[in-house]
Amino acid sequence: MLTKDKAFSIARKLAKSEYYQTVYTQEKMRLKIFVNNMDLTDLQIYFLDYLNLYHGLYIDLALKEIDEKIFECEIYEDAYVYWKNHKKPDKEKVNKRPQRPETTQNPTGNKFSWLFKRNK
Amino acid sequence: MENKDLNKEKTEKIKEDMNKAIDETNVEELIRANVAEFEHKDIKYRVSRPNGVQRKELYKERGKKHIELLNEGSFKPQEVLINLYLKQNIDIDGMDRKMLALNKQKQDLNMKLGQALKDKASDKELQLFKDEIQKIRELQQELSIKKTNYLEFSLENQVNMFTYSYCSYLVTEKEVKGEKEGETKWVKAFDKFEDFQNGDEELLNMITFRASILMMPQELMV
Repeated sequence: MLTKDKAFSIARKLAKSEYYQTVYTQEKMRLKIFVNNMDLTDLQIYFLDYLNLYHGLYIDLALKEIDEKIFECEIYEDAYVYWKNHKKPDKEKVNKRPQRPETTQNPTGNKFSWLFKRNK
Repeated sequence: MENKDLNKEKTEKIKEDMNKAIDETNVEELIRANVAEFEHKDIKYRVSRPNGVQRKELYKERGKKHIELLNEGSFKPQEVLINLYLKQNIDIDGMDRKMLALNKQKQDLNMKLGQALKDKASDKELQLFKDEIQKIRELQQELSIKKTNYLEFSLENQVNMFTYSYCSYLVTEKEVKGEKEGETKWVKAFDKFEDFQNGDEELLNMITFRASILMMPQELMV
């Protein structure tokens, strides 16, 4: 295995760790994980991707969408994330989505009133 | 033939040494900042991402090297090399097609395994998918190494290797004593590219590993 690959593999393990997941969740908006805020390196960009990947997996675990087994190997983790990103949308959920009204009538059957009224 | 084997052995040894040098602490440091500091024989070194001026110099030197090698003629452009290999029944474009087909197979298996994980399928079923994906990964790695080896002596690869070294030379500094007592300052670690090329092998490994992580691939590619 090439040395750069090994570095990226370690980065993935670190991103999975409790410490970096906590930092990521708390500092998500401010990106304080790195000393530099700009001019990120490839490794830093990948590290953010890995943090995001594991953050999503831990959320699904908390929601009981998956079980601990998924964390046994990277093949399971990658396959689940790939499946999640590429699966066809759930038909039932799509049908449950509120439909756009065919007319400008609101659900009560009344016409929407103008937001701005002219002074009489 | 013996020489070739010796070179291969030497390359493997360098890779092994570099792998040993990479531990979690090193990688964690490289994640935290786009500058890396380390010590070698009691001298502090610093490797950083190339700045605008360095990038311009790198681009210029890369171009110069490209033309130089093209004129020299000892290395053939990738396209020419691929056609030469084809005459020897080695189909490099075919390898690319095979790689794409393997990727498609892997994606299909990922979909099945992902669904199985979601459905909390049995360990046996999961293991079957895992083994199949693992086999594809190994085949892909094998193909990728083969292709890299075949194209090692292409003009483009030689220029890339030069760019890597030149960039490592450009972005490396060392700490020296400043004018006032107790003061230190950073200066270029190597005055000339030749000095870098003739440098201590262990030090060069430490520099190139860090520089390769800090550089963006597009800064190196021709």
